[in-house]
Amino acid sequence: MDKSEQSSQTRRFLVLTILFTVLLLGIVSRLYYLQVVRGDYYAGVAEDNRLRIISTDAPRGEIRDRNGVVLATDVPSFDVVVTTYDLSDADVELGAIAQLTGTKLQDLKNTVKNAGASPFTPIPVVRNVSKAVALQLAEKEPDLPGIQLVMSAKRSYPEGSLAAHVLGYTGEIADTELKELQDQGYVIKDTIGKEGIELQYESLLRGTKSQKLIEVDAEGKVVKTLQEKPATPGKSLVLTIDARLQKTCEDLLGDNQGAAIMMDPRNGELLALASGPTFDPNKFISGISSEDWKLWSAKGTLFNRAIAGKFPPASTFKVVTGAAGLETHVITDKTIIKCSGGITVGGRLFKCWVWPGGHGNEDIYKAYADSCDSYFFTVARLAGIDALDSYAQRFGIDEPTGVDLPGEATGLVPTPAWKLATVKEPWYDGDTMNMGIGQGYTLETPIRDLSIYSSIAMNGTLWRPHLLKSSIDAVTRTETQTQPAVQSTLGVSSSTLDIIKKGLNRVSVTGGMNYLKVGNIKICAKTGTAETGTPDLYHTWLIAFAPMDNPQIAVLLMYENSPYSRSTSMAPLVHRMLQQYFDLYGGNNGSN
Amino acid sequence: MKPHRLPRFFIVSVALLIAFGLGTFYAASLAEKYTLGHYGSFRSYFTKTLLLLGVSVAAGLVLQFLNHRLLRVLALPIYAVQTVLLVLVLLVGKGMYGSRRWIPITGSFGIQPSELHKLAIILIVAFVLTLPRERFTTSVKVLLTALAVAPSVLLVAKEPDLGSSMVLLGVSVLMLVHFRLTNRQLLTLGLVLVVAAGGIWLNLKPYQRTRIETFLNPQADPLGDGYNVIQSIVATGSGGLWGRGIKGSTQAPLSFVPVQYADFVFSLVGELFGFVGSATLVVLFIMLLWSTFLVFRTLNDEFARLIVIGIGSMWFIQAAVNMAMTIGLSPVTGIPLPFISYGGSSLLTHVLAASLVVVLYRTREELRF
Repeated sequence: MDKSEQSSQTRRFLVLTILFTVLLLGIVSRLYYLQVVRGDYYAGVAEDNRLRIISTDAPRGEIRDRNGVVLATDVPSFDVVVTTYDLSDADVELGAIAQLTGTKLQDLKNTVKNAGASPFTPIPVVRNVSKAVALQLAEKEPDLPGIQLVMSAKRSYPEGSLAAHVLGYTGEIADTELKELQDQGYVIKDTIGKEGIELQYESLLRGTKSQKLIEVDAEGKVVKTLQEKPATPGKSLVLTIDARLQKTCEDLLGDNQGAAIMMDPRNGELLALASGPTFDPNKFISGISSEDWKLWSAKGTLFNRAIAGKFPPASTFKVVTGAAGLETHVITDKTIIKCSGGITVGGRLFKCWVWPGGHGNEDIYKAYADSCDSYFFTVARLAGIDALDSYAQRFGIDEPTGVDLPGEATGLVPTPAWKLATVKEPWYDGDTMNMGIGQGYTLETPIRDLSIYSSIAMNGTLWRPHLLKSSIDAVTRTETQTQPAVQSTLGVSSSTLDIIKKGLNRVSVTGGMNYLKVGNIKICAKTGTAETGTPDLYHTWLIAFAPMDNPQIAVLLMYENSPYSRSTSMAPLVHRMLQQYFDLYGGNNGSN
Repeated sequence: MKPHRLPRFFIVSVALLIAFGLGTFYAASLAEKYTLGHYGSFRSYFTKTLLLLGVSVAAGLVLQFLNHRLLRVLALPIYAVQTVLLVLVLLVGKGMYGSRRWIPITGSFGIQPSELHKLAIILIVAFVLTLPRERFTTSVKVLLTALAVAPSVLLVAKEPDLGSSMVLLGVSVLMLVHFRLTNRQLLTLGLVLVVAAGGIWLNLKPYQRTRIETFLNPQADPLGDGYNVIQSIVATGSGGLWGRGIKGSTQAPLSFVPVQYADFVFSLVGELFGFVGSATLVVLFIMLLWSTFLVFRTLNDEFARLIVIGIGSMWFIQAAVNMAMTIGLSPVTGIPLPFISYGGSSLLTHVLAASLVVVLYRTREELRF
């Protein structure tokens, strides 16, 4: 490095150092402005820390049925919020609120205390106050420092009890939920989905709160808004439900305990999913009376039987037994078994339901049509418990269907090991035979039973049952469709499934099942009548899908402690479900 | 002119800055005691800083025994080891909000390699630029510099520590600017920078883009960075001319300003000591820069000169960006204020840098690499 290079470098660094100095002096001048010129102002702001963050709930997304019928929406309401720093005498101001809203003063104090918020953060203490109270409060607000009435929203279900178990309801966030969800920006008194779709899709429905940074004066009155970020409304959800079909299903259930489901087997879209008895979710928003609560508890009203109830599948299980027999080749569709009102094994008579009569010679088609127990006792015994268990598992009885609702239960596939562990008894041939006709220990949820028939309809493919058709972004209006997904494949040969379908078709044209008839559409169906332990009281099932060769709809109707003693009596009811479906959707689907 | 054995003006500047930082934390701990009735977190920042200062000064003194000729030899190994640490931190690193900035050692104690890496970069750039002229043309040197700096900048940005990444880049560029460059070479340099900037922008985390957007448009994020800056400005401004002192300061004890002990420490100074204190601190930094320049002027060896330019640039960039951020004049980038912000790796880095300047000054007559 020669001298001239060196001095040129020195010059450059000198220039840089001077430049640095000037920039730093610039900072000094800004400091002078902030601290000396505006110092008193900022001292005032700092004094009470007069900056407040006000956040307001984002509108929760609407829930609509597939045709746009609004099932859940937000309606305006008022909340009372408290900023503790601005209170002059907590007992006086909170006391006034307690009196106006009919809340206990101590409860208000606890809410404020438990909020754990800084004294400058407004805390909602009473939500959804009535209009009358809001008006009174608005009048008194100027005399109540630290108390504010703010606009908010409350959930409303315009169709009342329609699809209540699907929709679920919202409520105030619980302390346990709050602890878990604090990171996601939830605060005390927030609204959160508690059940059903409201819970399942909380993250989509919720949106982002609006936030306003405001400056207040010494009395807590807003001087100006410094910054504002508008709320991002939650996404609207479009369900696969058709409100008209849902209504029909609920009418059929009436006050009975039971479930009614309609599903498109081609993609798993649930057009109706009803559990009886139903309830009005609006009651959760306005407050539940103790009479309601008593009634609901007695009848298990809030329990979603369609996805969480577990029942003996009875004769609807015979498709599993048939598949096990055909696939293990212990029978073919030519095998003839004679029913003389029952069969005797080990000196014990296993009665067919027709006993003391008899079905005579039965092949598998006739056995399905007659729902002959003797036939399926025999097939179960021939196939053996291991095969029966293996096929019950293939049909997914002990697995969830993956339906997009919280709380789905799984059924039970009893095995010899299970029996030994739970009942403390070895497995007998009689257990295998009882299992073959869906009695005994086997349990299924209605959604699973329908899924089994849906997968038979679709040659072994089960499309995941689902309720969310799409979600719509409130800002961009972009719609995100749910992609149908294959939940499982049976791994049962199509020749076996064809035999079963043929048998199920025979069911629909036999005896009283004729009432199912919709035009000349070929229907596959199966009934089931499960013993309850109480004489002459049964759980009755009827599952059907149609058209046989080009399935579009699978339906299930099930009564717990049924008003009917024979499941075939439900044929006219299931007919209504099918008829309405084909009236609404059949035209453009080339029904045969 | 007979050279002094020690750069007294420089050492006094550094000592005053360190004392200022300690005094600030001590005053804040007293304010905390006054407002809250008991000692709070600033007390522990103060004692920890004392301890870390002891360690750093000891390391700086050890450095004084280092044979300066070794610096040239060590530049490459130091750079290599540091680069390995930067990769390591991405694998095992810890940090807040999903970042990986710290290599944990024990408990909450760890090292932040991106801090010491600033020194490694200064050494390696000075090393590359002073490779023998006979064998390396200027263009080749610039290219090598870019090759040496780019991986570090990207690794640090990946942590993500955008602030430190920008300091590394800025220091290297300022060092290059002080190197002999023709117009064509400056153009090449400009191109490399544009590509690097593009690459970094594409790799930014959403929150980092938010920060830049927040600066450009504070309305965008009222509760995040925008809120931080506003609270920082309020705290600074509330200090007035003389400061609110120990009995009047409320923003620090009540934790209104986020990370006021680290990135926003300048707002703490503003609140406690007012315009007089804040301006004094700025003047101390101006003193530091000029005393560094005065040391630089006495040096003849180009390697040594470039190192001092690098160190001076590092201090300036960090001080200016940090203080500007605190009073809302630049985006929130998380760059600590040298010698003042709480943080062991940061303090060690700057004490070692100062020690290096002293070494180069003391041995300037022997320096003939």
